[in-house]
Amino acid sequence: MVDFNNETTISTPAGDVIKILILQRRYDLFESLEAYNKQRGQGTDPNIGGVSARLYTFWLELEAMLKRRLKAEEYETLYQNVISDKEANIILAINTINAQLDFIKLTKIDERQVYESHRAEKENKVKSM
Amino acid sequence: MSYNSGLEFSDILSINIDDLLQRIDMNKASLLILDGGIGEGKTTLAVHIADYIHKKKGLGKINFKESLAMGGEEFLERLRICYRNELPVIIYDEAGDFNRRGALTRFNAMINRTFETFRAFKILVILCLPSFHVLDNELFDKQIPRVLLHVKDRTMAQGNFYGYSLYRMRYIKHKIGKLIVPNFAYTQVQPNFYGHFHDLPKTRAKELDKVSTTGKLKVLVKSEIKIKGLLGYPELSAKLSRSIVWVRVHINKLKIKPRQIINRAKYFNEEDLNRLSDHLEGLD
Repeated sequence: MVDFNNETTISTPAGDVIKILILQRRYDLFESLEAYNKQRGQGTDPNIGGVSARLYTFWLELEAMLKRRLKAEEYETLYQNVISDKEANIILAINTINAQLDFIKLTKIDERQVYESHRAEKENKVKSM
Repeated sequence: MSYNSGLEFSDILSINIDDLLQRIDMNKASLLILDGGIGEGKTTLAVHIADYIHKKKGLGKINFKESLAMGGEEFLERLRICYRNELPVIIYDEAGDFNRRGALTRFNAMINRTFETFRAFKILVILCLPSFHVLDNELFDKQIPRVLLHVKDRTMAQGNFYGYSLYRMRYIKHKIGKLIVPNFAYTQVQPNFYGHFHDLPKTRAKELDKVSTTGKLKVLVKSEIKIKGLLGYPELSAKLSRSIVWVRVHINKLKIKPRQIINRAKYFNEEDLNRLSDHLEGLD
């Protein structure tokens, strides 16, 4: 539970804390998916329930945003995939959510502008000069 | 021998010059700075660049008497000539100008004013000076200098330049202020591009030498006059609060002989000033 009266969070906007929580949930989800794949690789018959549970919590965290951004039928498909116990559907759901997180720039990491740095004037322009 | 594209400098520089010209077409101020030690080829490269621009605009090679200004006094005059004759580029070679006290302040003020007033001149100004860090921060805040070409390590066969954007210039400027050996700052910032350039053809180099030496001689003469404490008619007139004509007439009347004649201008010293001053008191 986040303590909003804590020294580190008192000066942080709530939105930023939520973003961090979302990223944390995503990380947890990936961890469980990794454990699942590892078990499968070892030849045991793993249970996808752990991944499914984390995905569902992750989805709950993002529900309002996803509802806003996706069309009704897309949202419904996503929901069906989230609650599914089939691996393929779960992966599809993760893909959809990932794409949305990238779109809202929460996980977008390739924002740096690419330019021809050997052209000084191009660089000036990119640096707003 | 010339480089791949038939130019006298590496092709990469022409791409950067074209970008500057494009900026000028959009009515934006553009200052290209060439800095480096004495004899590294600043003026040579500046002439190559100016020739390239002239060629691009369908003009012949630059005429030094129109497009090359040695020192601040010539600059404004040549700028007017360039504007009148619709010439696209002017070279301002400081030619030891900055060694005079207050020259830098005057220069910075002049450059500032020039670009504020005459932005629509559509002329690329190429400024040659030993170190660009003497320029005011105000110029950089206004984003007037666009590209710096640091010229160094000239060999018998060619000169070398290193190009920096305004963005990188600001890093160099910051570092220069902090380092004991200011020149190390150039090695601490990666250039955007670098290349080489040839010497001028012999006849053109001779022509340039003539203009350049004349310009430098003018500066030398001024320094000599200052060091010797000589006074011309305008200075005497200012000190005595009388007109130049009055000074001329009374110098003749008192039969004061000039201490030195430089370029047909007569110069007097402090002693002569005192004689004139005493004479003036007598008249009152």
